[in-house]
Amino acid sequence: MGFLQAQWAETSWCSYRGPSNYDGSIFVQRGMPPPRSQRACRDCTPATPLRDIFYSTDPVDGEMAMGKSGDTFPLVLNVRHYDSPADGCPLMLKNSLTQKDNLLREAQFEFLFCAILTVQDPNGAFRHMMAVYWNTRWHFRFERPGNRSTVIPAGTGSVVGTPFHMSHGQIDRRFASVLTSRTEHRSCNDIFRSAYSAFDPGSPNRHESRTWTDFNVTAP
Amino acid sequence: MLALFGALATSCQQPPQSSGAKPDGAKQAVLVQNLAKSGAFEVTNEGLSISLSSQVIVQRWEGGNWQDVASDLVLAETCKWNPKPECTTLATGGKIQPVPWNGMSCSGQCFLGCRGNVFLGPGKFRFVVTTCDRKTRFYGPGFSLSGDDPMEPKKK
Repeated sequence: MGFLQAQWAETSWCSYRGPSNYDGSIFVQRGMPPPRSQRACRDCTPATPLRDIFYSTDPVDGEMAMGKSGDTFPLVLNVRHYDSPADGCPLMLKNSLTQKDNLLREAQFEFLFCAILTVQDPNGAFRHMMAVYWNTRWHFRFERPGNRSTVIPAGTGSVVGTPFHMSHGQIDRRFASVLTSRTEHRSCNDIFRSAYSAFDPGSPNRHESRTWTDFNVTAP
Repeated sequence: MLALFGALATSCQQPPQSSGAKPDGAKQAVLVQNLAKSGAFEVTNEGLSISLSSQVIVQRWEGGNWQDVASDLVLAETCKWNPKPECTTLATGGKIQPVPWNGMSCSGQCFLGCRGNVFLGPGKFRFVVTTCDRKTRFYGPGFSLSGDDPMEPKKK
């Protein structure tokens, strides 16, 4: 018995401005293709191979418990679930059009997860028992002088939903394909890290302007 | 941050006490020493100039053995955006005091992006520095990491 976890949605963008209008602006969209190759992903700790399906198979993490041969029912197994996701942006990028340093102006991150308590039977089949949706979100604006930051209250916070029982086989379609698939080859950690390429000069998700521009944050 | 359900307790026999680093076989050239703060350490080269792997192995005392645990610990004295090079050269007599490890499997020293990320304490840990080719290991002494999760807000 243990936890599976899917991240089923991500927002990740960073916006930059030079000190004056003609120093330019930059927008980096990291939450969309091509840098972010897929929307939903299977989440696991760095120590856990993706093929192991579960979030963590390290016994010390306490995320899994196994029955032994000869155990009798009712059987009590204790597990826990823990995660501490985080992300960030470089504070400064050089605008290739103006050759001026552009400073971080605004950033938004939203990570939406579903953790599922699952029992795997001796034949390898998964039986999903309970699930909880949870998310964490940050939306900040940074202003000069002194790079003072302003929290955007509506966009910053964290919610842990009410755990609910799952009917057998019932999985949210938004992430069902990644949850126990044997063909997944990249974890959420792999996927978001590769999306750092959005910052690279020439990336299709890095947009530069010679002046201050209000970019469309909902587009790649 | 999400923490649900009850935690499992860990227990084991005491790890052997070590007074300092011991390499695999060869004459000791690199010392790995713990500093006062749990998770802080210093690497000193007492031999000829040496190329070390920038990646530091973290091991946990578990079931009577030292076991590798996953972490992103590197021989870096500051937190920088750019990835650390694969190898770090330490001149004769040179020292490095890496940014201390906080016990997390991801963002263990500096702020990095993470999705799946767990706190690896409490427990007994040690650091293992290797040559760049990974053929020789230099073991630090064990230290205790408390159960204080660095990501939890401090209680007032």
